[in-house]
Amino acid sequence: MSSASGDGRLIAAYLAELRRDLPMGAARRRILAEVGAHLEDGVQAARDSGLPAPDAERRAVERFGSPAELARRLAADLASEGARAAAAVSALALAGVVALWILMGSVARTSPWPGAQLPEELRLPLLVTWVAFAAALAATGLAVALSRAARPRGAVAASVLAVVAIGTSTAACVLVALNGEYLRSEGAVAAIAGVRVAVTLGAALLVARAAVRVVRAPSRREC
Amino acid sequence: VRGEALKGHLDLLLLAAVRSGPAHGYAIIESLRERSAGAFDLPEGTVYPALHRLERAGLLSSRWSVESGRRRRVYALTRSGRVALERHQEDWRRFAEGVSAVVEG
Repeated sequence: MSSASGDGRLIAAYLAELRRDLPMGAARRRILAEVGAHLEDGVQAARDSGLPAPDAERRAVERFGSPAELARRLAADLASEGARAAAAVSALALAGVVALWILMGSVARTSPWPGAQLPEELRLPLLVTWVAFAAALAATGLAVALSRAARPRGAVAASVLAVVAIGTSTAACVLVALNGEYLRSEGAVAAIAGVRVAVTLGAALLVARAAVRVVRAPSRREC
Repeated sequence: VRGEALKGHLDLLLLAAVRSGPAHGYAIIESLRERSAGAFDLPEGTVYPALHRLERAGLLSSRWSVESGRRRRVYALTRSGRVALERHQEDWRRFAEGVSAVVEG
């Protein structure tokens, strides 16, 4: 940022540094556009007040402070957003896999509900499924509560646990689906299990992205 | 006015700055400077994170707007923001009256 020729290079350099310091995504695009427009306004106002172009640019940029510090402060807010998104993804994924589980139970020859007379091969996977559902529900509730309490790291950790529990239940579901001889409609069960795997993988990807964003952000927000 | 003195009042100032209508960040800073007769010249590096935080809290909403051929992000008070502003105002009045009574009384 040593250039001060008044040809916009100082602003371009500032925005490039800010871009480098912010996590990728729609929020970064919005921040860069917003800061860029503000810098242009600042330069225009300073020039209207009689400052030469290089000084006008320098003044506009200096008012924002260092790009790293601005990115750090904005990233703290992005972390909160990431934590809320992770908690929402966990909740939606859990609702989705439970709905798919109910759907699968409705087409299965053997009832998967507790208390049913189960073949030996299905007992363990079904037990794992129910325990994993309970763990996912508890972790998702914790993630939502922590994200509302402005504790993004705790919230995203709970979301990761929820997705691990959802993944465990999905793995157990796949084991159940492989026991085709007990199922009324093998094709439908396989399709439901496939959708469930896709939902689980999608949720894992989204929560992992949010976790990276939160971990990269500072743990305390300042304003 | 030193930054330390403004801590805790930043939300009130920003919410009050958009009470009369939507405004972009530059206009909000200018408005606060003019209305305070130069006392509150808030740095952009403080204002934008606070605006984004208030938006995430649901107290402000924002949208892109094109003015004079330039695209700017414009902030407006939400219903929750208006309620929060009234509450902050009441808290501020009590605080100011208390300080004034002690310091000048």
